Amino acid sequence: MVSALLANVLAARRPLLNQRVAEARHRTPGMDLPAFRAFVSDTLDPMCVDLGSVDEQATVAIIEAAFGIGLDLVAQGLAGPGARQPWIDRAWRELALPMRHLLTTAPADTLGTVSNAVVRLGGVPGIDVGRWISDLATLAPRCATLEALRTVGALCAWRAGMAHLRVAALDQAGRIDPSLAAAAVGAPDQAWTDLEPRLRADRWWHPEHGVASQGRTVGGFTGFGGPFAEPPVARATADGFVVQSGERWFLVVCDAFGAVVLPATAAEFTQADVGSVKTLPITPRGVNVTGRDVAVRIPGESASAALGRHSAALFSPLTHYLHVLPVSA
Amino acid sequence: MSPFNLFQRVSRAPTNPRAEQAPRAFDVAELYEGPVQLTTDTAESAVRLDEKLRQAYFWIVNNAIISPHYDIEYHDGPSASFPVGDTRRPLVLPSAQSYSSYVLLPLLTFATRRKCLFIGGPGRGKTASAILMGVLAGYPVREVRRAMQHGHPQMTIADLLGNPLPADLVAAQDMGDIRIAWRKWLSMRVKIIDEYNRIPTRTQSALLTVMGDNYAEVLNHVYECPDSAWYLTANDDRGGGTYQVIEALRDRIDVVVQALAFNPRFLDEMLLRIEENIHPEEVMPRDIIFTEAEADRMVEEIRGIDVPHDVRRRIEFFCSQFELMEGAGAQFEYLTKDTVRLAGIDWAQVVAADSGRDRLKDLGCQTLNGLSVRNLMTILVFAKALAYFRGQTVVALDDVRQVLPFVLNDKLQPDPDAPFFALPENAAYRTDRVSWLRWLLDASNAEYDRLDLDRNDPVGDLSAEFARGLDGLSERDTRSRIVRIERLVEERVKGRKLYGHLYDDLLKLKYLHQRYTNYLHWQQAR
Repeated sequence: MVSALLANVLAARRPLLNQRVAEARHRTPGMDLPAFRAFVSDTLDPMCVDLGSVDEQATVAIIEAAFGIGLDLVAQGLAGPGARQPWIDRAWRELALPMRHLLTTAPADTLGTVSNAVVRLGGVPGIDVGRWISDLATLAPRCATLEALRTVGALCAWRAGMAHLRVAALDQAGRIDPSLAAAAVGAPDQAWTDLEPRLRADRWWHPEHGVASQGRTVGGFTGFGGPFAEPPVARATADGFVVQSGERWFLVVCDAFGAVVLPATAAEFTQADVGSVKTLPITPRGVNVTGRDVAVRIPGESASAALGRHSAALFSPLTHYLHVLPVSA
Repeated sequence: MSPFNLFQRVSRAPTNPRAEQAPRAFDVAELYEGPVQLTTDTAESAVRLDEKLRQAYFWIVNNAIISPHYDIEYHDGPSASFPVGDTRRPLVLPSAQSYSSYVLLPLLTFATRRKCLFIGGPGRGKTASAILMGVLAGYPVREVRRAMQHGHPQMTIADLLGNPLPADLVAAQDMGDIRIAWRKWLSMRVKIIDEYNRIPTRTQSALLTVMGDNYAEVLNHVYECPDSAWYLTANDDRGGGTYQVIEALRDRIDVVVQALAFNPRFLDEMLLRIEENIHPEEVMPRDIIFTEAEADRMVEEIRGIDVPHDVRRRIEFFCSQFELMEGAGAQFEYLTKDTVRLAGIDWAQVVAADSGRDRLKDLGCQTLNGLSVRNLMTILVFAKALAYFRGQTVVALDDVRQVLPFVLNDKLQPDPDAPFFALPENAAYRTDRVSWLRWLLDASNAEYDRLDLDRNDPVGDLSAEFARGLDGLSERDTRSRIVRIERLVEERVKGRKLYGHLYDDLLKLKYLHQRYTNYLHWQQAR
């Protein structure tokens, strides 16, 4: 059973909504209709109730847009009880009220923006999508426009672990209120004029925790869900490290907020700096990286280190992991 | 646009996704690209034309022409292959993005403004495919249909090109005073001739002028046609009312595409169209329709695709296999199959006298003719177009391998009496021209590799030396080069059979020799 408000909305737009369901079934013959019914009662209805408690009239247009988008997403297995990821349902439920002012003016684009973002975030291993939704729920009320929401969303995505968005998100941060930008990177009490240059200059500096001296461990064997079929070999590039593992290549980007492993090409590996790789001995104190001993769990007596401008990547033929460490200034 | 319009969807995802080479520029906008189309997506910067062409391909193949055939196969690493049936024909599952020739070749014809002939049984979508190309060029469906020329035995030149205005015919004192009501199709950028082999021979000549020289002439009045893509369909000869097509007209066609059989496993798609009363040509998304300016730019971009030296050499080597017929003439330049053809001599007689060559190994023994300049240029153009379509900046050998059979389908004629076709394992090549042409190219490449011509090409070295120019070349150096050429010729002809590629090499050496000789005479005369 759905709420009275939703029932009224569905009844009022019955011919149009029925046509959309028919079209979706034609497009996706195996579409799970019971799953869509569950999506309507478990996700759409709570949204409707939340929004209707504030502005019942505006809710009609929002629900009509949400019905259509939800139909498509359920058909693709991205929403509803059988979804591959739980994020769209959660995002819609938790963000509906905080974003209601944006939903009123542009319901399809607002829901679409958030949906696309959680799908994209959920597709990158290691990203804290739940955190992204929570952060955006806190900050969305302060976003006057959809563009501001997208900028805040980008900063939150970076903070949730999308390390490769660091520069792009910082570039866009100039378009929103500085205090909002500071809050988006988790430092609401600090001035953006102090934060921004520090964040740009030192990718390993975290506004809450300081410098992440231990760096990050990324990768892992494909048999255990990691990306590397063979122990990786790394070379430094401007963006991070290009890694070869067997017949595949990856771009590894790390910073204080997280680490991502993205597809790369053989050409990028070839173009990367071969001369940046050195062999370092492993002692009981660890590996000495540019004057600093770092404890790492790498078997054997030595490891290779690809040295970049800000980071060093340690790798060995005896491990499927890559240890990325900050390089001391 | 409603997000649920079945046939208006154009994929927002890259059609040929690959990790792009440096420089990497991560864009926040990527975070918001996904399964839901946003209205802001339409405001973003213009799609690249090669991407638009790919989008057009995938829209057509997914929504318009149901052609689930991937006969243009590309591989990225090993591909699974399964021998099937008594003949053990391989069923290959390609490991890279592959395409249907029935959709791709007409699209490349559109992109390059060339001429494509659809062949196949009735009801296989030949005319429908041609109409789609007209819509892709931005013409309304109704206009495309009305402008389509339907061949029939009573078709006159006036029917095809236009009529003089009757009032002018009566009143004019001079031919120049007569105005011609030209047919509208002449001005279109996509021209469709349906059942061209039902046009009578006399009218075919007028069509040849338009196709070949891009102008129409009636009563001394000339209409200059714009560059356009041509689509012709051929009626089944058994249907009756067909004429022999003029060889010159047939030769103007650049690619021949066979309509492949419909796979009944996709009948549900046809049922949907019936139930929804959908005609794909009427619902083509505006996003994939090309403006005239875009089509012009695309042609230029295709021209800019590079053909690397090594690929070009292999094309040269392949093409040099076929023209030689040693017994055809007394003078070296006339030792060609074309000499035999022009003399009208019985082919079997000439072949019988052509002894000494390994008639199984020599690729030239499999054909009745060689390749013309027009054929070679068409191969290059379509190879560039295919590379462009795939998002490449240079032509790969694979691109040549894929387009060559469709370009030469009607051009390189097999000799059915050749010993090659008598072998049981080659019997299929009698009927499957596309596979036979591909086999020829593969065999040619194998021979090229065996001769190690990438590293051992003295004729190429001499050509490159000549290409650097003669400015400042002394008389002594000129003589030295002439001697080198003569020595190379002597070495090449010593005790060797004359094969096609050797013949062309010798002609090239003669050309270089003549150029240096002329230069020497000029130097001496100064």
